[in-house]
Amino acid sequence: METAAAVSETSAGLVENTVNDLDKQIQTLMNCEIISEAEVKSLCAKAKEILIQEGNVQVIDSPVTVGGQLPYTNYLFLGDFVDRGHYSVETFLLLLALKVRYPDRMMLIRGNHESRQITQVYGFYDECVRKYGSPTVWKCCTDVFDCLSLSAVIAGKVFCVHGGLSPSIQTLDEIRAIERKQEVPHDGAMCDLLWSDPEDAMGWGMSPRGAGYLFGSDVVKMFCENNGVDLICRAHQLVMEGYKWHFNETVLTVWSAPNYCYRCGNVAAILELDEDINKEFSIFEAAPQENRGAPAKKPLPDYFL
Amino acid sequence: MEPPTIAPRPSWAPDDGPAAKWIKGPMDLAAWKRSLAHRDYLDFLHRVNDAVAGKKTSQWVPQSPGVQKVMSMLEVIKGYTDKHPPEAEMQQRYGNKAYRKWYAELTENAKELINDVLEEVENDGAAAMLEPYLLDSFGNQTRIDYGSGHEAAFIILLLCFEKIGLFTPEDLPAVGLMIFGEYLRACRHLQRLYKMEPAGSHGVYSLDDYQFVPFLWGSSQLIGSNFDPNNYPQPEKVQDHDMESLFLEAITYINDTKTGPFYEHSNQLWNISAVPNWDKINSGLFKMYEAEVLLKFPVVQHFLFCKYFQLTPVPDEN
Repeated sequence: METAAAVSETSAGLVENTVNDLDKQIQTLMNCEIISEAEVKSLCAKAKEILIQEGNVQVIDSPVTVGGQLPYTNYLFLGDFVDRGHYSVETFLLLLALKVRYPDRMMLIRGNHESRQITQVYGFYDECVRKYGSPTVWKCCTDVFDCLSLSAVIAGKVFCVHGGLSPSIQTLDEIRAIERKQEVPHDGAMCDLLWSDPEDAMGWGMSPRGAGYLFGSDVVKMFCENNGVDLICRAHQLVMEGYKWHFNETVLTVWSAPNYCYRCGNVAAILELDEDINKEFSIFEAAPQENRGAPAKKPLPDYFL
Repeated sequence: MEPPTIAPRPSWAPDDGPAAKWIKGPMDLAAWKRSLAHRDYLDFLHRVNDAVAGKKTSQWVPQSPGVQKVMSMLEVIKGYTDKHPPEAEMQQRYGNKAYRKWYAELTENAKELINDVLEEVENDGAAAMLEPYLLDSFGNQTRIDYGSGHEAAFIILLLCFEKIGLFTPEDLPAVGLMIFGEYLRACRHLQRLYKMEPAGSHGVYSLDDYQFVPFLWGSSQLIGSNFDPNNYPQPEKVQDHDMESLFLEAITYINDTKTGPFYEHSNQLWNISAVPNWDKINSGLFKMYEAEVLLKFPVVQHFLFCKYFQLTPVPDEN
């Protein structure tokens, strides 16, 4: 069983990251409670050290749970860890703590929401300021976003990316050549990988999202042939049944947020791949309502005071 | 790492072409913010806001022929759904693909619909120019989604109609209560029938997954009313009052379509219910709209500009 290397830092603001500390932080975050700003700084620093060593196309062996049980199986998360929900901070920090605790078992790739610009629109920035009183934690986390890998290949056969394909990319080597340690650009290969969607028309189309492209089954066929993969596994789009096959089972969308926006009534899915990359889906619904009792009413002071 | 410098685009200039996008990146937000279009949009929102203050949705307001024409247009558009019922669920990702057929029907008829609306008014062939706004008012054909950008497109269309001379100044209450009210009901019909996704919802930071302006104008309607804001998170307190205000009608729709406790699924609205009066809610919502909708690139990148909605900078006072 892997153990995280002990980190003793003497610089101001960082704390020791022993296994015990990590396990305590993991427990705290699992309970939907925040860890201290000092702990966040230390955790982010350690996570960055691990993440920057990973390539743009992470190599993962099966068995994998996409979206088992740590530490006996590998886990891959396809991005969009933050924004829109009540607990983005706890969610992302939990994933980081698990990454630092089990670095060879946990894989995280970047989604289009792992971005400074996007998180200032869709809530993560506001949540950080509300829970910590300043943007410091947001800054730490967005610096970590820049280090996240862009994609993964499982057992040489399943290519995993958050959004989809890019007209600028024909081969995995071209992905490897991308300089990824930056804010998600507005266009170009790195942007497309995180923003594109499959669509029924052939070839490439303008994306209605305003970033990335729409791509057809012919594009997928060529990409798979060029790169010796059988399947493109991605997320990025809401799916009623939790998962959806496209293009004769060459593209798979996996969506792991049940009852999106408390209205969509969808289930969520996790893909499990065994040693021989046989596929099984775990489906789950929204957690039952916890009767925490109504919170205090706090109108946003910038607008309502 | 900055992208390589590209030669600056020529400034936007009005022409007679169809309304089109222009905002390409966050650096264009400054141009949008100081434009005539931005000023005119807010001005329109405020004027309608003032016109509906203290008025119930159900009360009679004057309606010129121009207003009636737009109401008829909305009825026709809503009626296209009869020709395109939802298709059986097999293999759909989320939204029902029959929406795309409904949308194709709208596309085929859009120019004619606008021409009919503008029949009695001198309009210089404005239908071609304004068609893109109508086509952007009811969601996106590919993604089968709807959000505050689509709502804004419809309001810009109304603003353009006003510029062309379709509405009289006395029509403003009808624009807010009748036209916009019917528009909202048409959108809700589409959202439910075709299972449309929220487009770019801010989640728990949103006022609402689909709309903003019914809360804005609707809060103005409730200024001076007896309805205590503190009560609107409780469905039973809203039920009998929802035809008094677009705000309460929108709350009912939320209660009908979202699951779980109100404080969880509509946290911003929950918070706002503690604001002591509707005046403060109204002015707060304006600030929120300006900051959270009008100055956010993911929304305004889709805005369309034309001769009646110009990106030209507001001239200096001097």
